[in-house]
Amino acid sequence: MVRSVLSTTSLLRKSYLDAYGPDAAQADFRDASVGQYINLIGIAGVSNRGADERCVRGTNPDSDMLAEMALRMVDTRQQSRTLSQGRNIFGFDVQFTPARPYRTSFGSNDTGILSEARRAAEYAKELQRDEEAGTRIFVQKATELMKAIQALKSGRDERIQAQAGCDRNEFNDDDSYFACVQQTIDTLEACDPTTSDSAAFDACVLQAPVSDMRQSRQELRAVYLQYEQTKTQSENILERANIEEIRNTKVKTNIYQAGQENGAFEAMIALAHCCPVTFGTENSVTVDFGAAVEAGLRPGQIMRQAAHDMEIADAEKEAVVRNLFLDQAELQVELDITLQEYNAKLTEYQGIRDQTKHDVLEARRDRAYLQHSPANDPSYRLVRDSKRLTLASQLEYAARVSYLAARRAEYEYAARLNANNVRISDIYRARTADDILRFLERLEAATNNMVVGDAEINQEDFRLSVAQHVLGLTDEFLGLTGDAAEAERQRRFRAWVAQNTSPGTDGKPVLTFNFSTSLVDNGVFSNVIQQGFDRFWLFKLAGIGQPKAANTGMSMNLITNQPDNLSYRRVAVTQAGVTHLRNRAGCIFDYRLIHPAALVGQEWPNNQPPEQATTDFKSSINGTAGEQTAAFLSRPVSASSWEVQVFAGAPEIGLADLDLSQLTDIELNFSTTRASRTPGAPQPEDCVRTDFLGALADEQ
Amino acid sequence: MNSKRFFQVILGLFVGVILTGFAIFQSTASPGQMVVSGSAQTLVSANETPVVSGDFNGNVELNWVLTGVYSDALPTPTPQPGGSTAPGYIGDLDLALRLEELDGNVSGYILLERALAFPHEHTVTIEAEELAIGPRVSGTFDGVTLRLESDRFEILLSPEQRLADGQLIPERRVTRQFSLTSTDVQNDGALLVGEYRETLWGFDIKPSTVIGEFALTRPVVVISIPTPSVDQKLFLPAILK
Repeated sequence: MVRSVLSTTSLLRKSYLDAYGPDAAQADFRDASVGQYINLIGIAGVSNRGADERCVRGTNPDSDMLAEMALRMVDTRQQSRTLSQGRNIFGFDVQFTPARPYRTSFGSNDTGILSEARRAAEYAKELQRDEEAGTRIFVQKATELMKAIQALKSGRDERIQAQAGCDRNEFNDDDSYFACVQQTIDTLEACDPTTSDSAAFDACVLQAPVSDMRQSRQELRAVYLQYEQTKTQSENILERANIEEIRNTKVKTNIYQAGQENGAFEAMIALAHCCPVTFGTENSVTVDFGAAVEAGLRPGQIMRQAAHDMEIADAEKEAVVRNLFLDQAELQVELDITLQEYNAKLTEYQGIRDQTKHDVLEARRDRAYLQHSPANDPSYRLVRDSKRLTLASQLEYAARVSYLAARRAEYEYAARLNANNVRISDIYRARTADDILRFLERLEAATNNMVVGDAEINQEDFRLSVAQHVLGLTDEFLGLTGDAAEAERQRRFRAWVAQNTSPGTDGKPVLTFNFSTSLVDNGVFSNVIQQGFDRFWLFKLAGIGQPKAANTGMSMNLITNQPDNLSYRRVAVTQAGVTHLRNRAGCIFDYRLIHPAALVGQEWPNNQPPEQATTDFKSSINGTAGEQTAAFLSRPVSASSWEVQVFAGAPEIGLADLDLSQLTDIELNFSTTRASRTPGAPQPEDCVRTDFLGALADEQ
Repeated sequence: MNSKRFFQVILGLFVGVILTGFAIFQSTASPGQMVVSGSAQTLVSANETPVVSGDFNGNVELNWVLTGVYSDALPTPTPQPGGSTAPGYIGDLDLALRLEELDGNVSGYILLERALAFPHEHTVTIEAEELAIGPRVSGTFDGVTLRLESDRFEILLSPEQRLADGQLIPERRVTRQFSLTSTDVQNDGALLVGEYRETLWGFDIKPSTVIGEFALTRPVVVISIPTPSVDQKLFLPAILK
C-alpha cells in the first residue's frame, strides 16, 4: 500500500529507530513517492478535463494544489537522497568528527563543544519556559476573546436576529449587517397598518424578513382590522334602526340628551357618532367622548347605562329600541377595547423597534470594545509565534551542537558510545530542551567515567628520524653498521632529497615529502617505539603546555653538514586524510576530523581542504634556533597523510640559503600523550561501533 | 599443425585483436582518453551504430496530463489561458533503466535505486546477489529510434476499510504502464532524448495519460592516459636494497 500523504522528515527520523533502519525508511520513501506521483497525475488528469467531466461535488483541484503536490514529491526524493548519502537529520555526514575540543581546557580560550551544547540547551530550556508562558497567556486571551465573541453572537446578535430577522452570519461585514436591520425598520415603518388597502400592506410587510418586529406590525394591522369590523357593525345597527321604523319613536335619557325627547333614530345616530376616533401620525389612537361624558367612565359604560335608563315613549317598540341601544352600547364597549388593544400593540411594536435600535447601537459598541479589548491584542499571538520560532531555532541549534559533542567525545576517548549507554541517535529524537539536556547528561556521565585523565594519560615525547623511521634506512635494513651504515644512509637520503626537491615560488629549492603514520605493526611507530607500543592507546599529539604542562607540541630539526650561518629554516607541516586511534581494547578506529567551520556550513574557502591541519613554523638547524607548534593539539599521531615542506631559501637577510644536498637527516619531534593498557588483541565484537545506521555500522 | 605454428597463429590473432582494439580506441577517444561506458564497461566507438545497452539515468519532465491511453493519438493539448501552447510543467520524475540490446530488440527494467516513483516489482539475481527491480520494459531500437513499453503494474492505493457504521469502503488499485519513444540518440547511444507517456487506470473513471520529455544518459568513464613527455619525470623507488 502506498502512503499518499506523509511527513518525510518523520521518516528520516524513523530510520534511526531500533529495528527499523535505512532500508525500511527507503521502502517507506518509495511508497510515499509512488503515492504522491499517482495522486499528482491523477489529480492533474481530473483538473484538465472539461467542465462536464470534472468533480460533481466539492472544489475542483487548482494549479496551486498541483504545485504543492509536486513539491512534496521533490521533498520526498530529497529526503531519500539525504538518507542514502549517509547524512543525518542535521545534514552532517555521519563519518565526520569536528576538529574542536570536547571540553574547555583549563586556561584555554577555546570553548569545548560540550560546554557550548550545554549552554545552548540551557538557553533553549529558558526559551521553552518563555514559550510555555507565552502560549499560556495566548490561550487565556484567546479563550477570553472567544467568550466575548460568543457572548456577542449568542446575546446581542441573537436578539437582533429575533427582532429584525438579520443573521450576522449571512453578511461579510458588520456594516452590511447593521444596514439590514435599519432596512427592516424602515420597511416596516413605511407599512401603514391603518391603510384601507390590505394587499398593499401585506406586500409591504413581506419585504421585511421574518422577525418579531414584522410580526408585531402585522398584529397591529390585525387589531386595526378588528376595529374596522366593529365600526362596520355599529353602522349596521344604525341601518337596522332605520329599517325597524323606529324613527318616530321618542326616547329620552338624562345621560347624554339632558332629559330632552328625541327621535330614536336621531338618538342612535348621535350615539353612533358620539366618539370620533383619530389615528395619529404615529398611528396612535385618540377618542373624543364628548362633553357629556363624565370623568372616569368609558363611552360603552355610559351608553349601556343610558340604554337601561332610557324612557321609550312607544311601548310596542321599547324592546326593539332598547336592544338596539344596548347592542350599540356593547359595540362601543368593543370598539373601546379594540382601540385599547391597538394602542397596546402599537406600544409593543414601538418597543421592539426601539429596542432593536438600541441593540444595534450596543452591538456596535460591543464590537468596538471587542476590537480594542486586550484579549484581541495581536501582540499576544505575535509574541507567542515569535517565541515559538526562536525556541525551534534554538532547539535545532542545541541538538546539532549536542550531536557534534557526542561525535567529538567518541573521538577524544576513542570510545564506543553505544557500548556506554549513550546512543547518538537519541539526539535525533530530541523534541524538547529537556530531551537535549538529558542527552548531554548521559553523554557527560559516560565520558567522565571513560578515562581518569590525570592518572591514566601520560606524556610521551619522541623523535622521528625521516632517514631511519620514514624511509626505513636503518642499520638493519641497510645490512651495515658503524660509519659504513652512516655513509650509505646519507647517500640514499640525499638521493631521496634530490628526487623530492623542486623549485619554489621564490625560485629557491623546496623539499616536499609525504609520509603516513600508522598504528599497526610494522608502521612508523612500531619502529620508533620499539618496546611496549602495543600498550599505547589514545595516542595523540599535544600542544604546548597542553594537555600536560610539560608538553612541547611539535618541532623539527634539520641536520646538515653545511657550515654556514643558517639559523633556522621555515617549514610547513600538514596532517590530512583519515586519522586513527587505538582504544583501550586495542581496536583501531578511523576518524575523519573536519574543521568545525566547514562542518557546520559556515564560510570556508574552497581552496582550503577542511580535513587537514596545516601550520608553518621555524625549524631548527642542527638543534638551534627552532620553534615549536601547537597546531596539531589533540589530533591523532596516526594519520594517513602527512606532508612536510622545507624551504631552502634564507628566511632573513644575512642568512645563507640552505643547501638541501648537504642534509643528512630531518628530525620530527613530537610531544604526545597516551594512555596505557594491557597488551592483547581485541575481540572483534569489541570493535563494532553502531548507531542504527546499518551502512556504517561496522568499523574497525 | 605443429605446436610452433599453432603458437604463431595464436600470437597473430592476439596481436590482431590488440591492434583492432587500438584502432577503435584511436577513433573514439581524443588523444590521451579512452572512453568506457555502461555498467558492463562497454568499449564504445564513434561512427558505429549506437548501442543502447547499459545503465541509463535521467529524468522526465512532466508536461501534460490528458484523458486517454498512451497508445492513443492523443489530442494536442489545448492552448493555455494566455494563448500559448507551450507545455506546462507539472513536475518531474527520476528515471533509471538498465537496458540490453540484441539484434534490434531491447529489454530491461527500472533500476529502483534512482527511480523512487516506481514500485518494487521483481527480483533478479546478478552475480549471486539479489537485486530488487521495478517494472520490466521491452521494445526495439532500429539504430535511430528507441521504442520501449513497460509491463502493466498495479499499485494498491488504499486497502479495504470498514467504517464504524459498518459500511465497507473497497480497496483502491491503480494500474500504470508507460512508453518511451526517443526523438534523438546522441553520443553513440549514451544520451537518449524523447517522449515519455504513462497511463494511469483506476484513479478516476477515465484513464489519464501524462506526457513528458525524458533525457537519459549512460555514464561515460573517461580514463586519462598520461602522454609521456620530457617535462614529466617518472618516479622510481629511490630506496633499493
